[in-house]
Amino acid sequence: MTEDDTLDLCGEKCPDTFVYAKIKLEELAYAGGGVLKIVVDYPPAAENIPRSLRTEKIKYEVIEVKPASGLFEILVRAPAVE
Amino acid sequence: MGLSLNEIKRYSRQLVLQDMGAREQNRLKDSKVAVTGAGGLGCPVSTYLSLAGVGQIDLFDMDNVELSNFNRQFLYTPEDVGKPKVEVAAERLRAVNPEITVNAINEMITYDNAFDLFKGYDAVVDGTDNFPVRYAVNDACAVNKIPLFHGAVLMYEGRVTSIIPDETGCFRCAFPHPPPAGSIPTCREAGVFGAMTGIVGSIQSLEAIRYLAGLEPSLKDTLLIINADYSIYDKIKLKRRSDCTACGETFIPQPVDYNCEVVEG
Repeated sequence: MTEDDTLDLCGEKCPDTFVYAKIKLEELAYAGGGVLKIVVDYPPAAENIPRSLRTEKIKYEVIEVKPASGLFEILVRAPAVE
Repeated sequence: MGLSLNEIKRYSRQLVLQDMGAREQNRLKDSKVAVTGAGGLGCPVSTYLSLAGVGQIDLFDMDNVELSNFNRQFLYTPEDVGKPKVEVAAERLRAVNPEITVNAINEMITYDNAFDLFKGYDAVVDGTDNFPVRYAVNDACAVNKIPLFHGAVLMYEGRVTSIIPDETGCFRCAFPHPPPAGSIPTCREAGVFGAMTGIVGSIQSLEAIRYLAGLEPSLKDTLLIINADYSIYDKIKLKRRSDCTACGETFIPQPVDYNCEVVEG
């Protein structure tokens, strides 16, 4: 699975990590959908972002959460939304 | 999506909410709202509209700041006594949120000018303190099809309702005629409990913000009555009247011609 775009949130903490991820994913959804790679270095965000995305009205699919040398990569698919 | 990084940070605590997001925030940013009255209701109303990121707020009032305002009107300081309320309020609100436009309109609202003044707005939030202006604003909003978020406070009691053209009844549907002049004590005679204006103004702004963001207001066709003296939080169902002279089949101008201040704004 390859991403269409990457959002680097290193240095950000919750809940800002979720806000930025949500806005970016929303943009992607309204632009026809796609896959976003979110990079975080704040460990709780690796759990909080996927959990919070599941409660959104737009049905995002969290494809995987992968630890990557001190960072976490979260791969999320945004559906196309009108 | 036209939100800057600054705006995303500023509004982050509402952007995280489930039904809110960039689309809803952009709707607020693109909205143009009139607030009638910069008093007890106008202060919380205009403050929360500003904080939420409503793009343009036009404040209407023609009073100057008085010392007796200070038990409820928190946008002013004693140094502002004698200055036009709208000028001071607009300056404070711009300072709090430089991302939005706040216009000060120091003009009297009458039945003759209301229909021209309240054109092109996405919503009007009413914080006026007298029946002639209240009915003028209602009739103008009904004719020009502008959503009106009504609030009123006297003593320990507050009332709020959300009026959406073609969906709900208007203020005149609920109250076809104003009370006879002098039948209700004015706020100067009866007093106003300051915290009640905060509650009512906050609910009005909450309803307006929800509507502007594209979410459902909860007080459509409903009059919420809050009475702190009796601990009453009551909801009264309102109904649209087809023979209403403001929003019914035929509009008939009905200016209220007495001039007594009745309910706090």
